[in-house]
Amino acid sequence: MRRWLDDLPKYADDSSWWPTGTTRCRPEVFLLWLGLPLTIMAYFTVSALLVLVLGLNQTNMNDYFAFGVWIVVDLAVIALGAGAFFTSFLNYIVGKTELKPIVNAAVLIGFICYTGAILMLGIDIGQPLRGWFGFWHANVHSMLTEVMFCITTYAIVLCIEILPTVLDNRRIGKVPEFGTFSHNLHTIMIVFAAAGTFLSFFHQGSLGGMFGVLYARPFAFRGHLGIWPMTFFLFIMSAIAAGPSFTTMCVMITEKITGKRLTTHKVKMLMGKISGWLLLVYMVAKSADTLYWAHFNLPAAGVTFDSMFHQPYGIWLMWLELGVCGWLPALMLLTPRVRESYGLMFVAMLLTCIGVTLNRFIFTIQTLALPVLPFEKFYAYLPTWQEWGIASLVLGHGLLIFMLAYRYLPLFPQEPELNQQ
Amino acid sequence: MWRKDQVRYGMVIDVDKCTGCGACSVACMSENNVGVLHDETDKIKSITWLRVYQIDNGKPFPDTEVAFFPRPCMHCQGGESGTPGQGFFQEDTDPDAAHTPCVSVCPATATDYDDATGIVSQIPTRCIGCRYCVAACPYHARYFNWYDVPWPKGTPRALSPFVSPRMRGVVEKCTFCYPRLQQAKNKTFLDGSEVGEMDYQTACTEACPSGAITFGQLQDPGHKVHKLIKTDHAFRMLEKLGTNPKVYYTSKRKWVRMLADNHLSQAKAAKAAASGGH
Amino acid sequence: MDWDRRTFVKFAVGAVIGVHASPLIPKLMDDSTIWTQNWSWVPNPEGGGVAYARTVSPQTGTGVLAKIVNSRVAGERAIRVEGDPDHPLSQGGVVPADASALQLLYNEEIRVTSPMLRNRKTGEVMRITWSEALDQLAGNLSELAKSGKAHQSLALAPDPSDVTGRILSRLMHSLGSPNTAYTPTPRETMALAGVFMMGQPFLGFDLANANYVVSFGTPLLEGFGAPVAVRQAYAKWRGYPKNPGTLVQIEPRASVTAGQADEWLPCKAGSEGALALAMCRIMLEEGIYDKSIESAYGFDDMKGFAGFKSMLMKDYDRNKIAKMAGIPLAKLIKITLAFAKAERAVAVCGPGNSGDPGRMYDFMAVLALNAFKGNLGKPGGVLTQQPLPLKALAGDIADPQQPPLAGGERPFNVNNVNAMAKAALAKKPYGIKTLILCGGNFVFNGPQANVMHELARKTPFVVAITPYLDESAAVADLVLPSTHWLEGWGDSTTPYGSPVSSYGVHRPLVKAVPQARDAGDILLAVAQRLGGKVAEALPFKSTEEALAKRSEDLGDFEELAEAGSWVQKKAIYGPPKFNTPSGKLELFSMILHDLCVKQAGSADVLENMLAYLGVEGGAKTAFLPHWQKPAAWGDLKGNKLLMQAVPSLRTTWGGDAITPYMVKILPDTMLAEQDKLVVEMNPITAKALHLNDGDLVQVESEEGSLTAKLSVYAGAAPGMVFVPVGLGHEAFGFQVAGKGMNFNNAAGVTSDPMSGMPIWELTGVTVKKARG
Repeated sequence: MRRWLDDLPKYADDSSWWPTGTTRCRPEVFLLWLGLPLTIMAYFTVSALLVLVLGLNQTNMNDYFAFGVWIVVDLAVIALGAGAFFTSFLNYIVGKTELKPIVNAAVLIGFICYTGAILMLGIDIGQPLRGWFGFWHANVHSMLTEVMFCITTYAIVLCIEILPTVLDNRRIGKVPEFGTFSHNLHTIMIVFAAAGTFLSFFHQGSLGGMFGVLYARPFAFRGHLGIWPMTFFLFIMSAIAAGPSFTTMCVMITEKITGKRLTTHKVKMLMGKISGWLLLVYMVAKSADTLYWAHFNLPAAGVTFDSMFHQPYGIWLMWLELGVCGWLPALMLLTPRVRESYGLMFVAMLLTCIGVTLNRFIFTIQTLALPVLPFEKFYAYLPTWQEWGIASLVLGHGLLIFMLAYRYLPLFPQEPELNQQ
Repeated sequence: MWRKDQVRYGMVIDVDKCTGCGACSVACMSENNVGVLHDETDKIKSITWLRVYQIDNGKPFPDTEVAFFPRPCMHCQGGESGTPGQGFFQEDTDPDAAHTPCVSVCPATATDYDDATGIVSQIPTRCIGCRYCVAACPYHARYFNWYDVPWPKGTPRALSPFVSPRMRGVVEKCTFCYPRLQQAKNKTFLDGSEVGEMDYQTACTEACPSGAITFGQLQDPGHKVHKLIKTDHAFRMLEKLGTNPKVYYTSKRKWVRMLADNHLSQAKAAKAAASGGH
Repeated sequence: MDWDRRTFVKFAVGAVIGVHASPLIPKLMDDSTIWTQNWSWVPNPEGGGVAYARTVSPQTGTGVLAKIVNSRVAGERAIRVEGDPDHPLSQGGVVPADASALQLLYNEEIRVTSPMLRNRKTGEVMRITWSEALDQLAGNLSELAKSGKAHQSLALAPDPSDVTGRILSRLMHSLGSPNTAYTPTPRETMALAGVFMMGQPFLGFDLANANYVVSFGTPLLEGFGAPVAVRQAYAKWRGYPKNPGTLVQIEPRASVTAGQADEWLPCKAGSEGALALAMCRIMLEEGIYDKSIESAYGFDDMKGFAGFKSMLMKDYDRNKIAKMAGIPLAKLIKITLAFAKAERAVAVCGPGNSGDPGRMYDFMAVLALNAFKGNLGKPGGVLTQQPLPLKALAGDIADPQQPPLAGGERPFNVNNVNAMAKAALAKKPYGIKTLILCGGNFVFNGPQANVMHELARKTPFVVAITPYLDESAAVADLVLPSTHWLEGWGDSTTPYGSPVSSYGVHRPLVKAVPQARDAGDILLAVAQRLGGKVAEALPFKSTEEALAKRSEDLGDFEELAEAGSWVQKKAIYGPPKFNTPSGKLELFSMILHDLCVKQAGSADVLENMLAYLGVEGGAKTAFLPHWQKPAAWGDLKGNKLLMQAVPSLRTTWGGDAITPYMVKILPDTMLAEQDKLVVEMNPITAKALHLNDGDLVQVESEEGSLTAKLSVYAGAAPGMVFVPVGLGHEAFGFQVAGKGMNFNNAAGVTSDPMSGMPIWELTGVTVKKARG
């Protein structure tokens, strides 16, 4: 017993697993850090058990707010996780190899976002054990069917995309079979990047389509372009605009916490520029869409623009989304001087991410808050602690995975070079 | 063109005859084994397939008027609406043209538009509880089972064996008492006749003490509903949304028509106004 | 084999591939799904053959069909109560209470499942056998009788005209107690008004054939009479493109009836009778009345008394009354003219919104208005019903020697449960030792619930004969399980206001509580144990036998029971027979006059006696249809408001409790979030009291108080507060108990000045913000 305790530091020494050429904090410090995500996960576990055993009455969702904070978070993290597919797309397919230093992190963040979203969706449905009916008894007309198929398959693609990075771990990579497998995976990664791009493109779109097709819900309903409503394209555009921002933000936060430089500022600026341009395009489209909606869609459904806004979901939300968190960060990110400043770029990226999250919130909650029946009441919605517990899953398991990955996997190829003493 | 096996069941509710007693609602619940929760004042978690809304004209005393709106599932088809002269009724006989708000969104095909009857079905045992259909329905006619129904001891004895009680976590709604149609069909199958107007009536229609609800085949000139939907006072809720519902309302009172559907076509509203208020 | 890492990895990979290749995963997924469809806590109703049985709900007096499934394991069980298409008062329609009756029938958590004895001190409840229970009750009564205190017992039942009411009354009378009282109903008020003016106790309104209906403050569509029949009549007034009938509602609130009426006359609450008389006066002045009224007794002045015409001309000026009632004169005139000119017009009186039996002089005023219209005995008018051909159970019983607890001092005795309870509590003229609550849940339904509760608490021995563990059972020492109307024998008589008489018999169709016995059977068994005069007065073994005797003249009893009902075949049209002393319609009621003089002893003290009874205006108008200022108007000092109930078919007035489905369909203007009672008030009144919509308020009367959420409603008359009635049960399980508060706790019950019937239509209350 005594000997075992004495040997503990030896057992705990994990430095041989660290990525080559990097240093990491001491194991006990790392363990302390792990307490944060584990606490969140414990909170999630309690909430999840309550909901699964007692049912969805543990939430404040109801027949008005059929969707709640979970769907908002799902939509938001899937949008923010779009950095994975779009960065891979640019890196592997377009050939923007300047992005190589950040693509691993982008894929990992995507993986975290998607797995979190799927787990939450499993709890969100009233009969989780029947979740597979969506595949077995699929209704091809439903946008949700498309979402279910694409998210699940894309999550598998993300697993494959992330596998080489895992196998590149210093110790794992030493196993010859894994090394070879990893090498071969790298060479065919373009195939998965393409598959991922395709799948992502569609489910980002169909998530938007989910709301745009609700033709009896004037707040969300949009006109069609081809077989898809406008929101299909708007969701894709907003996701690919916010994804790179979110990835870069995550990297920047990691840099601040670890006190290390992980990628060059040039890479981040490139990400910011991409994000900025995409956001600009999105904002033009979104503004046009909003104008068209207010002037044509709403009157056609027999309602007025004013009737779409009730406190607490007032028109201020729209200005916040389109102005402060839309046009403003777009213009900021397109200004070179902003991109050059670490802090200002961070602020612009943060606003972008808030903007897209707000957009998902508005489409989910405000759409449902508006009674369509002329004599129905207007309700507001606040989640219960159980709902927050489950919504915090993405944060908890995201932190956990990211911390472990950062400690043991070569996420940032530029790190050893940038941190040479 | 209508195929021989295609009919369209629909309902006409006379708002002026409705006295808001709730008999339809209660008859529906007892027919369809709806449960009662601990707190039924929480209307947005309470299940009422046929809910009777009370509305008033918002005028101060003593000009206040009230009216009642029984609201079952509208069994929308979507697609193109007809003209006011046809009572807006014009359903596409092509099954692929049906675009019911809730049916088109269900990922698991747990709800379906029946091409033969125009009834929107609901299969609770197929439902995964994603509630997308609840979000899609503008009439708030769809209800999710947030709770396990607490049946007090002995009360399951009063349950009908013709409708399965639902488990928690699934969506349910008015089915136009579909099991009654099946029973009527079984009966007529034996004697080889057609299902007649009175062979298949919903529980609410039967129960209404003032006869405010009429049920039948909208496309059949022999049925009462066919004539009723063509009167000047007939309207549908939220006409402009394009849900093409099969539940119609009639009222002589203009404010009622305007409140329930402020999107009546101008021509129809003017015509109705000319024929006098209530 | 070497179990090295490589082997382990191979094994693991093999296992994963193997599991995936096997049908294990799909099979488990499938099984788990099937499990979700067979949760043990989700009931799985057993199928079986379906049959319908006819019966009549005593709650509404209308015919219903019980849909009964006969399944192999569960046996026979009723699954639905539907309207009976062949019953004239139902025609297939049904009301919520009947449609959901099974929820009370089958709920074992709220039914009394065996006789129970409660120890008052410890509150402990003991299950006892029927024989012990009957011995207890019979023993208590015989001890009272032996010690000459038989009169110190009081028995209450819901209906004096049903077989249980008859048996109970005979039991008490033969025992020597004059104290039986029943739930007060407008049938009694109508019988008084009818007898005094026409010599006819059974009058009804031919609503279905009327094309102009003026309702004087009675909730025609919210509980009046046989609710289904009224609705069917109402449906006949609605049509396309024009309405064939017109409904005018006179009442202070934009109620269901007012909302559905073609014309709503929002009058000051309690002024309805005056408006009827003002309409008579307008018709008189305009010369648009039925001229035969001129020959009615008391139309013109008589020796010593002013006639009806003089009284109208003196007291009922159209301007004055319209102003007093707070309605525009032009509207009153318009409606009067339309009423007078309509082909088949009828004026309707009935229960008040609070469910009280109505004020007798108001009923007389409405009858007078109908006579002015000349619709007596005409289609669409006021009809006399054929009296039900029912036999007395047995020969007459001598009246008990002691005077009843209340009513003995009046010119004619009516049933006033509230006055009796108050007299017993005051021990004036005497207190009571035994209280028998035979159905009707008086401790909840009151009419003054607190008074009934106090009476039960202070009476040494309380017996509750009830199907349910209701509020009355909760305060009883001995609780005896009686049958639900779908389980046992019983009957019901013509509902109020029906143009034809009807009789309903209900028989055992299903059994939910094996131990339950018909209330009549319980009383008969007690009578047998008491023996002597009591047993002689009730020579029946069972309620069924008593029913057979009672309905002898209605043909074969088995056929009657199978059919469930007997309904008068044809309405009686033609000039009505006036069984009055004058042989004519009497606007001046000689019967009433003679009764009063007899009670007073001499004509000289008549005025004193009328003053004692509280009849304003004295002998000059006391025998004419006239209007008395409601007593509650006198309470209106300072900040006081008038409280009136909001009736609804989604709740109940007396009788059985509201059912879970009825609770479920209550709008949030009656029961708000977290089961709070909602009271309505006009915005102006609310503003004057510094109250806002949604405030929690305290409604306080002298009798009790209610805590409620305030709903500001433009359709509520200013100066009033409107309270839903029938909520606030403490019993009946989690689905019904604790929902809102009981209106009857706060209702102020007074006696109608002349008739002595209890009335509680209006109560003076204060409303203020509740603390917390």
